[in-house]
Amino acid sequence: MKKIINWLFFILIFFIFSFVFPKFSYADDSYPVPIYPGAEFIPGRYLDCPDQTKNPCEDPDIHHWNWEAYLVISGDKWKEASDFYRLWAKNNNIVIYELESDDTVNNRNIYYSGNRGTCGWVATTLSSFPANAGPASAGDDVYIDVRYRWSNTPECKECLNPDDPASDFDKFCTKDTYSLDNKTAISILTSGKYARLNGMESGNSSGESSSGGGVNQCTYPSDEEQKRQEIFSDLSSKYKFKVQDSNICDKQSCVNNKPWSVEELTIFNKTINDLPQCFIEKLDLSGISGIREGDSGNLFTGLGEEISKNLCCPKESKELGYSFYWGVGYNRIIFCGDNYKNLPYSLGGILAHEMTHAYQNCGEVIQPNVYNCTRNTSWMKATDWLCLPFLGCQNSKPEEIPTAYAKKMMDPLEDMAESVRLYYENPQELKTISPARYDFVKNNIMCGKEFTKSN
Amino acid sequence: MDTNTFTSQPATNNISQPSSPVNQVSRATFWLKIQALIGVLLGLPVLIWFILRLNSPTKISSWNDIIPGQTTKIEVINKLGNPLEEKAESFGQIMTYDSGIKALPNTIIYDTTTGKVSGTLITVSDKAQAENFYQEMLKLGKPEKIMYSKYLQFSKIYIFAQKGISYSANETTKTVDAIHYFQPTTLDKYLSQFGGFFSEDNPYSL
Repeated sequence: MKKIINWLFFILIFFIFSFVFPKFSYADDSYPVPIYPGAEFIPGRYLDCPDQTKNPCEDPDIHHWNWEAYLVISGDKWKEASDFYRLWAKNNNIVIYELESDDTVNNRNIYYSGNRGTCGWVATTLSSFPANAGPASAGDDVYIDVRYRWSNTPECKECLNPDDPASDFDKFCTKDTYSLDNKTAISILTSGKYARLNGMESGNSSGESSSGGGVNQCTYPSDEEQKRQEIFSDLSSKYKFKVQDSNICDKQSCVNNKPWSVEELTIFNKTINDLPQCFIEKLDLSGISGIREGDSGNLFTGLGEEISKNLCCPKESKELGYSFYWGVGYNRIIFCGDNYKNLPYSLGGILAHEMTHAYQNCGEVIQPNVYNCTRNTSWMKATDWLCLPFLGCQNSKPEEIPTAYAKKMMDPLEDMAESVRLYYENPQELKTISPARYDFVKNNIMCGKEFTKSN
Repeated sequence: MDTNTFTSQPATNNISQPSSPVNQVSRATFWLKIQALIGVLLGLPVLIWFILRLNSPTKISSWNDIIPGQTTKIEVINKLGNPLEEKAESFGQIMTYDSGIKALPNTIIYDTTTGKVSGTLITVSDKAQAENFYQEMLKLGKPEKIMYSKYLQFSKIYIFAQKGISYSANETTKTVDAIHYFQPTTLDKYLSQFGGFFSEDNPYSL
């Protein structure tokens, strides 16, 4: 027996040498594995949690951190919304468990946040979910129901029942460390994170049941609304992309978003009708949307993040508008502000600029590099651009770059977009500054169509 | 005589007799030595491998076995042929080669005094490769710095100066569009040489 023990001891040592040490040497593998990433305890917007300061990993009291959230996604576009949520969760380092993976019988999916934390952390994390910004648009029917729950031991899976005030939550709330009263508890369960994407209806559902009501509605004067709808209808009958209002009423309310005015929509209609059909047909574009007053956006930072969280402009965005392409359904032009009125750009001109970016996408769903396209390389050759990876681009005739913005950017694709803008807004100016650009736009982008006066 | 008789007894008789304490100790020691030896024989190679692994110099990232700081210009030409173009830039002499994307040729930077390659700038043209490179980048851990590209609107530059590699990547499409291989250095040194080609803030406004 003693020998066996000795042998086992040596075998153990051997295994320690063989496996444990090498395993520990992979320290860098931790990124981006999400183990309470950041763990910032910003006061929860929807959960009025009393204890938001403790690090969940260090808090010995499991009651403080064993909160979690789950979402039920259903409706016509539940699959698209599910993909959207998966991506969002990944980008936010949230581990999710899919309780019902693509339930095609009931047309829904249920997700279960795997990241537990203090209720403040969970609330903050989940409150950033752009529930009302997913892939649905006006007329679609997608329901994203987000609820919070907790369990008082790791084993206990008793969910809070939003319809039952006397559920476990009551017991929990009577604990000395938590001072939430019953009213707050009910509010937590039903107020913050219910969003219904059904046409213009979206927003939070303050104080109301999560089973259907409590939806803020953006309303417009009826006569203006009628004209607006006529223009929307006219555009959608003619083009494959939708021009639409921002459907990104954020969680606070709709106050930061405003609908397109009749005047703006008329300009859109004119611009799109002015541009030749051969150009419009080549655009990778599913929608034109979004307008936000000033820079009052308050949700998103980071360009990729803002796109993945969908169709919204960051607070600090300097961009008047941008065109982006992120696979089918995500190739959109977004207008991030109405401050173009103070700049030497017309709304029609900005639209032409952004449409040119949609043209530059060359019909590929996702390209590793937008320069990998003859539309763009032939432009670069005609206008004397040379680029090197990482090191940017040079132009051998910089005096022919037509606008201050294009000169500042030194980017051939911006040069093309600005040239098209000028070709539409002020064709004579482009012809004077750069005949080569004028000819290229005329012959290769606008199929020979010229504009005789400024727009 | 008695003593002789005693000592001349067949050794086999000892089997049935209890061992003396001295014999027990020596036998135990013997087996302990055997075990220790086997343990060392098994464990030592692993230990040596582990120590070597820890102390081995960081593998320099490279493209096409062109190793910054080691490969010479002549070796590059032997391997890739004559460049499309060769010219002087502010950061060194460059040679360009076809990358599959006409507009963005692969670029080799070399030092004219040593004749050695100091960096390679690679354009990624294949979508599957671009996605694989993105996953490889994630495995490197947290970048030392992230900046914005100045020529690709939705790309950011992920700098791993100490690992000798930077990526230009789009975090939304999860693809890498270009890679810069160089000799591992400090972030400050890298930025002093190449930082001007990137932007701290998103430079685009339209």
